[in-house]
Amino acid sequence: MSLKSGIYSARSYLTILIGFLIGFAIVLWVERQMPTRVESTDGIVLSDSFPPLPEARELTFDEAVWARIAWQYFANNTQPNGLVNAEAEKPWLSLWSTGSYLLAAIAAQQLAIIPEAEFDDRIGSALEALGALPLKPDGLPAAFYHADTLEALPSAAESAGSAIDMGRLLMPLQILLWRYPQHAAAVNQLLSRWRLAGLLQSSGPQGASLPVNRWVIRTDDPRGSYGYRLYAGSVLRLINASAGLAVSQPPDGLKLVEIDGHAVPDEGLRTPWGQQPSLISMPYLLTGLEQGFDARSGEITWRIMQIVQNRTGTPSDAGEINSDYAEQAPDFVGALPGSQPLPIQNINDSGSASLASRALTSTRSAFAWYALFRNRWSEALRKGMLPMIEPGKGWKAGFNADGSVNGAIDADTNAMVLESLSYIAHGQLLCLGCLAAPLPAKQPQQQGVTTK
Amino acid sequence: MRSLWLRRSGLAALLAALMLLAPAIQAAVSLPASDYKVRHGELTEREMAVAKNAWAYFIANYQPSTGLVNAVNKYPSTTMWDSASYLAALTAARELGIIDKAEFDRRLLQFLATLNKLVLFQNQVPNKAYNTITGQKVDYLNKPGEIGFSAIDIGRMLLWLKIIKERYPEYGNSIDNVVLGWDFTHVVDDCGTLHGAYLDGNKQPQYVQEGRLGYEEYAAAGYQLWGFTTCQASRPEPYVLADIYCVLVPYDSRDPRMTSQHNYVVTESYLLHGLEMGWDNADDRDNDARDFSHPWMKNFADRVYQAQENRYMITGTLTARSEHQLDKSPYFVYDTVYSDGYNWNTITDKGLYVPNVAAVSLKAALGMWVLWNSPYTDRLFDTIENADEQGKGYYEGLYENGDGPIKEFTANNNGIMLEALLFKKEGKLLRFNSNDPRKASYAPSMWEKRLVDIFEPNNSPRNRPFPNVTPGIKNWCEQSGTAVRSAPSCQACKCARCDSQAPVKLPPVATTCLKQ
Repeated sequence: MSLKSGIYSARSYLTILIGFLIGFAIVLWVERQMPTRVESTDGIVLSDSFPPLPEARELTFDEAVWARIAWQYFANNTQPNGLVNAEAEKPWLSLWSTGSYLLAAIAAQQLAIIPEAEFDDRIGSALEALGALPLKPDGLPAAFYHADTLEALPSAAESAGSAIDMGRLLMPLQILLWRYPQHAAAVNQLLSRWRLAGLLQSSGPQGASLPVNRWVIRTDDPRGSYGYRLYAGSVLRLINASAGLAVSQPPDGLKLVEIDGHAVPDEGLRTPWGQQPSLISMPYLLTGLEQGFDARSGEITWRIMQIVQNRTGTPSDAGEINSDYAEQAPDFVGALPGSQPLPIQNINDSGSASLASRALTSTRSAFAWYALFRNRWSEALRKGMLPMIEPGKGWKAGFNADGSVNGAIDADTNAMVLESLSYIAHGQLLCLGCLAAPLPAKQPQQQGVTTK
Repeated sequence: MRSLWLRRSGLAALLAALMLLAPAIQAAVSLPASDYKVRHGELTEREMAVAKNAWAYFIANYQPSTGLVNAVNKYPSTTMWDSASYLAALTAARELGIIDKAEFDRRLLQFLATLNKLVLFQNQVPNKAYNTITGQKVDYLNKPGEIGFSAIDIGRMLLWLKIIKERYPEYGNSIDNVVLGWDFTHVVDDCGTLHGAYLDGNKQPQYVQEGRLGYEEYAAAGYQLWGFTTCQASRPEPYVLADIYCVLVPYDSRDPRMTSQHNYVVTESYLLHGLEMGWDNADDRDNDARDFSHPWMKNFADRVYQAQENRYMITGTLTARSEHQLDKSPYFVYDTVYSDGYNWNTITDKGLYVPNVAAVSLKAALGMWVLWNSPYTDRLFDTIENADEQGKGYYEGLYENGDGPIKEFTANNNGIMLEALLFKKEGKLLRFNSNDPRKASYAPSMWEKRLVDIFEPNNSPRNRPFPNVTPGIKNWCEQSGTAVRSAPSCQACKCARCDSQAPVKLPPVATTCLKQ
């Protein structure tokens, strides 16, 4: 039997075999085309490239001045009642901006911008004013207040509390308890007025899953995303027995997106065109500055930074990527007595609308990157922010996507500048190890060099 | 290709090594101000317009009978300080082409004639004030009489006489004649301390140490240029540091309550030293405006500048402080960075606190503009550029509180503005044009000829300095047969407590703001 006739008689088998091979090839090819498998949140671990955290060092002369420029915002915008406007010369505030103020005051005290007595005075009156805030029927503070009269501003979701904002405010309160015990009694008194348990609400049984509590987040809260939940959750978990489970449960809609080879959480902010992938660095940066990184927030921050860094200076068709955006103020003017009332929908429907149009190369994140990861990129980014100084007023928000200046001057930006500079000199704000008396200054160890 | 790569990597290694070294180099904190350059170049149209507007003051307030210029608009009185500012304005006007040599000569000839004929305070040195119409010495009310002398004012005048003498040697003899007529017995003592004079209740002259940190050393430079040893006056001590917006600003630590002299820190003294002396030592004949041979003047000046820039950056208040006149009571204030125990103190000469008349002083603003090229001083220039009145010159200042201009015009303000603009064009205003006394071919001036002459009767009675007998002077003495004065006993024997060679250790520029 010749080979030819043998092949001929085996043609059906060969056809099947070839078919198998083609099939496998297609499967392999399709496999290649699929996006890389995304990790689960538990799987986010520090990558090998994660840089060592910087040592605390003295501020430079310029940094000392920048910190004082930032503090000037708070000096200018403090109300007689002891709280501070969220935006320059606009008398409204939120729990979030008040958290920013308290953290700024703590940073300013650490940086010796304000003396001990002024710090105590400011914290004392701020806590007193917070205690005097009129509460909603559920025993929780509203989302926004008039900074001067401390009356609540109308909000789209009147009934909902703001767990994220409360988380932000609880952060400095916790620092006060640990580091400034002279204010502990006032903090305790304040917390005893608020029904914090109401921030977490029973969701009832959900299929076969555990019946755990879940977050109460205003539908219009611009900070409802994964990162912010992580950030706020670290404090909110201390609220009560079930809070820890509620806040550490992966929130709905967590997805990772892969950009330039880095998988990062898609913050899933809603836009008029549905959810769009979005990167938000703020909450992770805040975690680093205030509590110090854990592996997850540190790694996510590191990845976002690499993405943004990669895209900086590349040709424009690759697309700039921003990890911050301009926030929008509530329309407190419309709520002032005597002014035309606006339909509530108009006031707050912009909560997270067209995020892309509000992308911001922000002063606050530039300073935070600069403090947390000191490399040439963050140095250059921070340097690019020098035009944001508004003498006598503080730091402006940053650059819009089109390169124009976003001239808004607000408490969050200036607080984060102060927090970042305090981080450079003293490390994280909530630092229990820092309470020990500092060791006598030791010379940097050098090999082969002995000191007397 | 490969070699290129190698070179690149070599460069990278070098850069990396430099970056490792960088922290060690940066260990000493320095102020941003010390990196700002001085402005240099031809004047732009805007700057030239400022110069012409400022010169208008000296047209309006010229007194043809004496050649003097009123210190304050329409008030016929002046001091040595303000007359020196007039000399500065006159020099700048000529060099910038606002007036020609003929106009310059006519004015200066008459001015020097008047200066030479001034009736001195008790036959020593010029009185504190003179009437600009009659040329008589006057009291504070511009009535004929005498009140004493100011060593600081005379120091500034000496400095400007030296600048004119070096720039325009044709006036050398006239100028030397003026200074030869002065008696320095009570002005400079053996330790080089400067003394002013006032009349006590019994009309008896009292001689008291005069000058505080900044002004004292600036005035001393004027005496040094004429050969005086000013050891004590030229030293920065005694001073202490005030922490002002993160900058450690030095101020004189002699207590104003004990000495009734305010220890005010303002821009003017430091900036005048920068413009005229280039922050150089008095014996530095180099004209380069970018090296500063004085051991600490530039450093202290940077601090005074930086505190003001920081105040603007942090509080938003434009700041350029100096002493200045007012168009209302109390008419004159020390508007300071620091004085009498307080930062940003604005006080009258009696010590009354008057914060509402704090102002951006135009002379300080323009002086800072030319000596520190920074975005902040650009803003200062934009602010003051048109704060003048046609035919009157520039306003004294702009109130910090927004009350608008101080509608007063002075010779000092407009004169310093003019010399600041001349500095931009020419750099350090003191230019040694006469040949170098260290060279053998040197021809000494009349001042030096008299000072070395053993038979000149007034050398000792008038406490003239003993000049350094350089080869050039020695050569001249031998050729002309002049017997050289024997050197007085050594300086150290005259004053044991002051060593003018003692090194100055610069204090840190900032502390508490940076500390961990």
